[in-house]
Amino acid sequence: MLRKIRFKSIRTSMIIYFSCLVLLIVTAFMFFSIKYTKENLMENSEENSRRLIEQVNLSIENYVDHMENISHVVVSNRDMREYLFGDDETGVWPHLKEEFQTILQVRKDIYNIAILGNNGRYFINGGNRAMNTRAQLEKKEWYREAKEAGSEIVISSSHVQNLVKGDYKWVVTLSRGIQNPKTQQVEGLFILDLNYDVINDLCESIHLGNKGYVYIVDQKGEIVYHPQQQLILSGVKNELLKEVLNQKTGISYKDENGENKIYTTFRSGKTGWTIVGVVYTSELVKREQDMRAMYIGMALALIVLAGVIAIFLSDSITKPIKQLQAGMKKVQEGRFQPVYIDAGGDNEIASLNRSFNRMTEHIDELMKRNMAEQVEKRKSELKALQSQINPHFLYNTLDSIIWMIETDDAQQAIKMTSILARFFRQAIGNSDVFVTISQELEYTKNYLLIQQMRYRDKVTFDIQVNPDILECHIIKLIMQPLVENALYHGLKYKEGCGHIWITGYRLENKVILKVMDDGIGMDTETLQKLFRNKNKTGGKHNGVGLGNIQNRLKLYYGEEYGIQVDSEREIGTAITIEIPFLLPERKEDTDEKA
Amino acid sequence: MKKHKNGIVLVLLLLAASCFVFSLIRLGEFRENKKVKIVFIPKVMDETNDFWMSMISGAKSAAREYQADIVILAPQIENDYVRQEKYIDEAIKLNPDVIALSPIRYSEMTDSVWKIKEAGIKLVLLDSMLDEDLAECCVSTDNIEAGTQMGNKMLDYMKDDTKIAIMSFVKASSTAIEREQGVRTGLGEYENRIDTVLYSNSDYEQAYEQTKQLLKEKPEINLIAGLNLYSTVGVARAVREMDLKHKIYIVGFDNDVEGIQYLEEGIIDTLIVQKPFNMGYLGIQKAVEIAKGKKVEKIIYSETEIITVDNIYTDENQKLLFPF
Repeated sequence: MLRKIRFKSIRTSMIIYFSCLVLLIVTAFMFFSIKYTKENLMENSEENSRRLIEQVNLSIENYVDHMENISHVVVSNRDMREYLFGDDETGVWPHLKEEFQTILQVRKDIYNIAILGNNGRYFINGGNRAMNTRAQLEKKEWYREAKEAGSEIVISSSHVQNLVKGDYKWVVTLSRGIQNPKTQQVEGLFILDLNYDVINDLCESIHLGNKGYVYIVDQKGEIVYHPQQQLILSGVKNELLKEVLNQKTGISYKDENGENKIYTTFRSGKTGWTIVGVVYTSELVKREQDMRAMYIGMALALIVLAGVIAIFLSDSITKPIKQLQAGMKKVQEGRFQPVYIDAGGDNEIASLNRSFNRMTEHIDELMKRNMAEQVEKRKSELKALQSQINPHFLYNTLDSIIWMIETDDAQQAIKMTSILARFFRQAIGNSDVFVTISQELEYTKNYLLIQQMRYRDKVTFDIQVNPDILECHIIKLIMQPLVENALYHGLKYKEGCGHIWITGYRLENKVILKVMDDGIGMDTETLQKLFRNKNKTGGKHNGVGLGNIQNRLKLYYGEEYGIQVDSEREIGTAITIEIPFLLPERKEDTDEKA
Repeated sequence: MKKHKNGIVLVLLLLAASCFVFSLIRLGEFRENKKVKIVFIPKVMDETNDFWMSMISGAKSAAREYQADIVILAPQIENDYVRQEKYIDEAIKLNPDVIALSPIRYSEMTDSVWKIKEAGIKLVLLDSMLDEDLAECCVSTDNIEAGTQMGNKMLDYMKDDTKIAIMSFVKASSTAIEREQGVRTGLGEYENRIDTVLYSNSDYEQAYEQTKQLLKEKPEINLIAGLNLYSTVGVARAVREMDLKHKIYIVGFDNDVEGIQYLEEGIIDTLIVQKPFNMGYLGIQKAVEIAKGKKVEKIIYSETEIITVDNIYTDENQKLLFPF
């Protein structure tokens, strides 16, 4: 998929890849964080519940311990036995009163302290409280259990104590049978009531979230404490009562409102009660939602931040690349300037830039050198052309002059020598590339005159050039080689006298020059050969080929200019030169351009 | 080109930022929506009045369970309906979602209650009704049913020569009428045994005096039904004083420690006991449901329990009779 997407710039792809990477990492991180924190939250909650209910249990056992201690003290008390089973009932009364009152004063959590004899004697609290004659104790569960247990300690569930007349109080009762020392039989009951408020306050003070609560059931699964005891007993609400007895811990239960609760239980060895902590899953979930929202928010913020950083980073990385790109574009357009980028430091881009600049410099240098070489090459080419004036031509001319002197034709010799001198002055003396057409024609004329004198009646020529082009520029050594060509390829093999016409005129912005002969003409094969051998040295005749002329014209004037050869066997050859009409003022420019 | 890209980035940034903000806002809303605000106006809040304290603790228990904010505005003495009307005004100013009210008067308070409706606050009635149908929901004891329960129980004490007196409380109060009607239904064919109907005006003294008067004038009366706590206790006091225990059966309504003692002593034979904790709990539970836009039943009846000397100390009943 990714492979199919191609971003238009490195910058975009960097931003997107970087962002994707960050997104991936942050998402993964968030996922694990949430998972871990969630587990942690659950564990913490359970741990917290367990700690709290253990604390409740500890407090309750503490109370029970104290009550047991009191029971030990009271049961082993001789005054008490004397009071219940002895003869001197009234004698020990003040002692008993003092003892019971002390206990009640020290322990505010003790609500009632009482001894009941099977014989009907009893002593309650300060001894000044009457027993509720309608109490019907034998109908009460706690009393029956206490009786059945003999001299064992029994801890009741929570109940309303109606033992004392006109007093109805919620208590938890610790009871213990009292032995009559005479008969060694259990003939009395010691009763110690723990104020239920103690347990109530204890359980209410425990906070398991805002909604969670603590409740206690006894070993029969009956409620000792529950904040909503009435609702449960009248069936408005359900609660796990017997169900929690044998459960280890961590029960999950859905109540009638569809609320999920987690129950943590702890069974007290001392009382046999099971203390249960209830936590609402929804509260945990809410905390979890808060946490998740926080994580997601943080992740989003991080991603945004990463995005911004990605933009800046990619900017700073791609900026030098862009600068380099712009520089390269310039180079591509032919401007060889070094590119300066702020790559900062010594990284790959900077080194790339350095290499690029070195390369540009190098190319620039090469180009310049190449240009210079070209100029140099043309100059030497010209020189070569100039020096290429066939030495045979010189020997032959000189032979002709000698022959003229020998025949005492001094006039002719002088004439020829002077023409030759002029010819060479023109050929060698002027090192300029450009000459005027008149100069070129003069040069050509001198050459033709010399040839005419040598071959006498073999050649005649006629130059008819429009005077308005005479001042026009032309590259040196264009016309003469063409004439030489005409002589050696056209007229040389012709029987009888041959004729050469040279014409010239202006056609709009062009100058047309023509060299025509009525020689034997050339076939295309010869023509091609002439064009090909542009610089053939060592040949018998002039080495400047048509190809060379053509090249030079095109080089200096452009592609639309040059020469055109029309030739026909036995009729002759016509060579047309086309050059632009340029006057000497522009000589400088063209020279420079060259 | 570059501008275009920056635009995309900017859009992405805005999108991310708005997501972030949106999630925060949504979370906040979610939380605020959850807290329902309720004002509960009972008839009285008095530490010695088990019935109302029980109802208030039931209400608090529900508020805690459903995470509602509850404010309790209660007169300190019962029957102070002028004070209760002031509390209604105060409650409206607090602008809660629901007001839970136990109106002291059946018809005199209608104007006050109308203000609750006008303020757009939902109303739940607890324990007592109004003469106009203004509440979304009423939670109360089914007085006819309770009366019937009492009447049925009275059949147990029916002998050939049984003559019945009814000690009602406020003449023309809806509860009194309904309970009496229920008793008559419960008695069925023995309805004609009803000899006298008296009104204690919810006063121990009046009940006591009237009973004494009655028993002097009509010694043949041997079954008395007290239709509320004041009537029942007043009757019991008179019977006890005249030492007519076991000669006259007493069935009564509601309980306090004195009533329980008479029950234990055998002066009172049966008490029909309401469940105020449940009433308070259910009332607030329904109030929360109404505030959350749920449909609730118009009338929810809370049960009553028949208490005799034999079942005072059962697990369920002792919590009912001795709530604290």
